Order: sequence, then C-alpha cells, then structure tokens
Amino acid sequence: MDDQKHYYLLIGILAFLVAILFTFSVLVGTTGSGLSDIFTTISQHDSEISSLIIREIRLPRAILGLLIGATLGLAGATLQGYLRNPLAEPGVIGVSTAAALGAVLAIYTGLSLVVPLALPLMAIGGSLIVVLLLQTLAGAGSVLTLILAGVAISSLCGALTSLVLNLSDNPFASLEIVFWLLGSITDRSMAHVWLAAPFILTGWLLLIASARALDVLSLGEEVALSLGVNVKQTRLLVVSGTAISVGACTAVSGVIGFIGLVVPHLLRPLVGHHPSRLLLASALAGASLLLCADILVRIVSSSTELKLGVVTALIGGPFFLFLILRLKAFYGT
Amino acid sequence: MRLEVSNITVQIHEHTIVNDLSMMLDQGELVGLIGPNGAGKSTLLKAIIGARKLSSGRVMIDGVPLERLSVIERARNLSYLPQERYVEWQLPVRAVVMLGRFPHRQGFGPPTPDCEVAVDRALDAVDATPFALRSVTSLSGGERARVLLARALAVEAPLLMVDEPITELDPYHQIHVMEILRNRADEGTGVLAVLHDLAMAARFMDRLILMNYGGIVSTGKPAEVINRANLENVYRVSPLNQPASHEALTSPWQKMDRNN
Repeated sequence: MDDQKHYYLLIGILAFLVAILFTFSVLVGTTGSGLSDIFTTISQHDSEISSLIIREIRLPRAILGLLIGATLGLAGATLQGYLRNPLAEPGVIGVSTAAALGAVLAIYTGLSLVVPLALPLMAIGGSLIVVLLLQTLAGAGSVLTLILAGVAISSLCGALTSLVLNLSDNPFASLEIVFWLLGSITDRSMAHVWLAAPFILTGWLLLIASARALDVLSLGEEVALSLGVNVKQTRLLVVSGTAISVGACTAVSGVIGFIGLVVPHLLRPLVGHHPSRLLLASALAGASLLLCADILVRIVSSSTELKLGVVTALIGGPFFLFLILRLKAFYGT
Repeated sequence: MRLEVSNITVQIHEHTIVNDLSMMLDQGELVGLIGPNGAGKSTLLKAIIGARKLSSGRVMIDGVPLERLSVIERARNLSYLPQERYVEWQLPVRAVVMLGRFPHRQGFGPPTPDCEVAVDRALDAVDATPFALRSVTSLSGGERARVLLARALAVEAPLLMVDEPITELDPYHQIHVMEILRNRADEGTGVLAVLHDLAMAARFMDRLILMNYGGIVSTGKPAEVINRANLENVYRVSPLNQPASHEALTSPWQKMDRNN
C-alpha cells in the first residue's frame, strides 16, 4: 500500500538523521577530531588524548543522547496513545519526579559521593516504586484514575524534593541538586551507559509490546476489549515500560522535559495518525531532537555550558503554547 | 452458534441495572432489544461482551461460559458496536474499519487479503466506500456512525451486538442499516440490536425483547410485544390510532399522565 511505503520512507529518513547526528555528536567539541580518529579509537585501544576524549567522554554522551531521546519520544507516543490524550507525556504518571527524588536523596545524604552509582540506582529505585504505587492505586481503575494517581505522585515527589532542598544546609549539595535537576548528559561515563541501558531497553520492549493494542484503543476501552485487547495487561505494559525506561533515563540525565510531549505531536500527521506507527517514528525523532539539542548546547555555550533540560524546555515551552492556540482554533472557542 | 444469557445480575455503584435476566440468541436471528431510557439495555449488551462485571449468572456461547474462552476467541465470535460513536485521532476511515480485523491479525505485518476483502465488504455495505480515504473526524455524525457500524461488521463474527445503530441516521440510511442487519441475519449471523424506533423494530425484527427496570417484561413477535398494555405500562405512551388487531401498535402516540 502507498500509505505503508510512505511510512517506511519516513522511518528511513529519521534513522538516517539519527545516524548523522550521532556521528556529529561524537565529532563536535572543544577538541577537534576527524572521522578517521573515531574509527581508530573504536577499533584500537590506543591512549592518545583525542581518542581518550572520544571514548571516555563523547561516545557515552552520544549514546546516552540517543537512548534518552528515543526513550522520551517512544514513551510520550505510547502514553498519548494509551491515554488517548495529546497532552500526555512521560512526566504525567509521576515517573520523572519520583526518579528525580531518588537521585536528590542520594546527593543530599552524600551517598553519591561515596558510591558514585548510588545516584542513578536510587533514581531507578524511585521510578520502580512508582510502578508499584500506580498498579496498587490504579491497576484496575479507569484512565482518569491513572492520571489522577500520576498527578498525585508527581506533586508529592515534587514537594519532597523541595523539602530536601529546604533542609539541605550544605550549599554545595544544594547547588549540585539544582544543577542535576536541570538535566544534562555532560561528563557521563560508559559506566552510566551500562547501568541505564538494560533498564532502558527492557522498557522499550514493554512499550513496543503495547503498540497494536494502542490502535484499537482509539475506539475506546470497551470496543478494544470486545476486539480481544487485554486492557489490564496493556496498562501494565505501558505503565511499567514508561517507568522503567524513563526512570533509568532520569537517573543518568536528570529531568529532560517536553521531548515526550512535542515529538509525538509533530510526527502524528506524518504517520497517518496511527498510534502504533507513531512509536518507532517518535523514538527516532526524539533521539534526533535530543542529539541536536546536545550538539547545540556544546556549540553555543562558551564558559558556562547550558543545561540540556533548559534547552529542551526552551524549545518545548513555546511549542506547547502554540499547541494550545491551535487546539483553541480547532474547537473554535 | 447460540448465545445464552442465564440469570445475570449487574450492579453499578450498588444500583441493580440488570436484574436476574435470562435470554437467548440463535444463529440467523434478528432480535430487537427495546425499552425506555434506563431500562438496562446498553448495560445488558456490555455485560454480554464482558465489559461489565456480573454479580451473578453467566453468559455462554454454545454452552461454554465466556470466561473460559480466550479474549481472541471471544472477540472473533462476538462483535460489538457501542452507543457512543467515539474515535480518538484523525484516523482514515479505512483504517478504522480495519481495526475490526484485529482479532484475526497477528503481529505487525500488512493485512491479509481476507482482511482487505472483509473491510471492503463492510465499507460497501454501509455506503462508505466513497469516503474510505477521508479522516474519520471530518465526517458528519451519521457518516461516522455508519463507519463505526462497518467496523463492527468487519469482524465478521457469528454474533453481532449493536447499540442504537440507527439513532443518528437519516431516514434513507435508517432503512439501509436495518436491511444490512437483516441481510447479516439471513446469512446466519445472530444479531441483537438495541432500538428506540419501535416502528423500525416492528418492521424488521424477528423477535423483540422488551426490558424495563433491568428485567424482561415481554418477549415475542413484534405484534405481540408492542401492544397497548406494554406501551402504556412500560413506555407511558398510548397510541392515537387503533390499527388492525394483528399489527404492532406503532406511532403516532401521545404522552400519558405520569400518574396513569
């Protein structure tokens, strides 16, 4: 079918874009490197400075940019499809704030100074607690119950994070917490990649497993049920998939907003509004957008590097306003 | 294939909506489910497809309780059109109807020729082929209702449950949809349709089930069910004209006093 070809073409273009941006992300920085340097670096283990920079600094950064951007795009598309709400994004079920709280606690208690990986581990722990909470609170309820539970968890975790900041008497810890909350993938190592990747990939599998059900859910839960969708199982896939993958991302990068909201929106018309087709497309576009923002951060900033979360929010915020205006025009109110 | 509902009770927030109700639907039968607002018709349909929890009783297909069938088996046997004509996203009409093939498809591959044929047939049946490529949100209420009916038809299940299939349609398409249901029944499908139009119900249905307060008041041929006593007691209307004795008493009616 023509429609199908159009979709494959879009996926091809987006995949190509991701590949280009990924390569660029490894190349760009204050130290220049050529393409040949990268290949020799990856293939051989020489310890020259430029190859060290690529292997130890830029490669993990590019990989994390790819994984995190893809996760945010994928989770956003899945949640919008599942909740049948174009304003849904991964933050809506409280995962990001819970993971952030876990990380903030690790910094506050000083645990992250003793064991560096305590920070991401506690963040992942925070997001896993959210899965359990959501399943208990809203496991069998309606979509509305899920959103309400998510909002409640989100505000509670936000309040607790503020409390920690409030109680923190160490200005350095406070500054570190605030900086961490802004979201960034600077100075991450391969250890971060190895820690987050298994969770991220597991989350992806769960989210992708819900794809076909999302299409049928566009007719409402009862019709989906009558067509053989296991509605409860789909919810479990979506909630745990989002929490595990987005939780792991937040654990290594801090909170990066708006990609999960903006990307599915931009792509929806391009995939013929099919919720299932939106998943892969949003994942690739999310990866492109995050890699692009991260490259921008490196090119633009001089002495103080801009935080990635700040840049994505700066792009996302105005887009959100534009979205509201367009919806308003659409409904004529 | 036979659908058997035996002594089911459905409660929502401690209100009994369907009360110890039993009924049967056979292959090739076109049955109308009628009754005033709040009689429990839609809830009965939802209970049959498994979207409402039963407090007691059970629903069986060919003697097998519904909960013993897998979700896919159930979906292949029992197609359902809800009263709410709800579609999220601006999906193309054809894609919406293709969703009806969900229980017959596995994995992410393109639809099989069988599926394409079923979708074409369903689109054609409801006169929706001319706008098959338009987005469903660009259609009028009546057009959308027909597309969603096509979605339910595309399942090609031996049992079809439709909730108010003609409510939003123009007179031409009301008759058209009733004929579609008639044809499906003649081809062997068991059809249970919730209807408010008693004239249409009397004209097309093999059998009517009249519900009130969650139970069945009367069941039988249309002329036996739509009689003066039932109209007055259940619907609180009385006929203005007196037709021949063997005919169903269909409009025009007048409202009756609440205390009558």
